[in-house]
Amino acid sequence: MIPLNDEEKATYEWQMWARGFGETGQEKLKNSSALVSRLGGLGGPVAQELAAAGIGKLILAHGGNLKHSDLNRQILMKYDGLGTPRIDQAVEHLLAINPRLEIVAIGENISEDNVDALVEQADIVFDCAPLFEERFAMNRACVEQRKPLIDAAMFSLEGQVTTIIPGETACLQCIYPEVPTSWQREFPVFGAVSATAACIAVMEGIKLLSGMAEPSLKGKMLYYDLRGMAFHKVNTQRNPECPICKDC
Amino acid sequence: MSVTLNLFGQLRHIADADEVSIDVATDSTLLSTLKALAGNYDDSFSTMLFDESGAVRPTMMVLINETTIDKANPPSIQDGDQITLLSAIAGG
Ligand SMILES: [Zn+2]
Repeated sequence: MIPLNDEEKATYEWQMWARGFGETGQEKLKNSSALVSRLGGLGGPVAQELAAAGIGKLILAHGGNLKHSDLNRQILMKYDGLGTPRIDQAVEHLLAINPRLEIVAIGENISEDNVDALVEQADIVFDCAPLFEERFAMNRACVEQRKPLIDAAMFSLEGQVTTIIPGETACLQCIYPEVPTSWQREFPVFGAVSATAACIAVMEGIKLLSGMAEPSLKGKMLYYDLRGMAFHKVNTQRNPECPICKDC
Repeated sequence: MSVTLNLFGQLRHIADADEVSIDVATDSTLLSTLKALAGNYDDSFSTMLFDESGAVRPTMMVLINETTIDKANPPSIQDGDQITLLSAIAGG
């Protein structure tokens, strides 16, 4: 394990005061890697908070150029970047926060063609994709490679986060056995609702990577409603017949 | 008897309500309660909630009094129950 240097000790001093984290937790975070897909309203703040907290390496996947309709929530992007690749703006933004960060960036979204190689490079995966096909690809790869998957999602003023540990908890396809026909690519969204799910997901990841605490959403789904400011947790249930994780 | 339905995701969007209370017969099942609920809205609500066979869609999470239930073997419905419907979401 590579130890913290003096600059890192100074940078992370205040978070190392958190109970159970300390220099040991920070060092584990520095020596950890995470895949984040994609980098929109949800994945953007996930990557930003991981970068700021001092994770060692990020593997980032996000295709497409910046449009006006991205700017209400995609906080890694800049107005001046309209029409240019979002992945380049994301990398620039994250390195401006943490120049020590190692980044592997691909300007395409997760698919069955690229997912295995991307998951292989990561200790943990943050699923922030807007399509169930991408989510299912990450879920399958994580189950096969026994990697933890933090699945975060939102719609309108609501959000959901669950921590999936292959072999221990329900996987995403235990929860959703098929691609939901009702889900549409365009959805109502406030950036603050996405970022809420993102920050909750990041703390689950930091707990897992650093060992500072048991992830609270392991085998549970947190669902929240920011219209009524209500937060609930419910157990997720493994499906013994799940084609993805039944042998795991 | 009266039951309260807490709607999330696209169901809430279609119903334009977070929470709905309905009166149902004392021997109501989960399915009959949900059909009664769907009767208050246009077809898009039913399409979201039920599959072609009329069963609750497998991707719809159903909670009764904040506990996950087995949709294939749902418990009987009691007066005052809170039924939560979480439609699948994937937004970012
Ligand atoms: Zn499964």
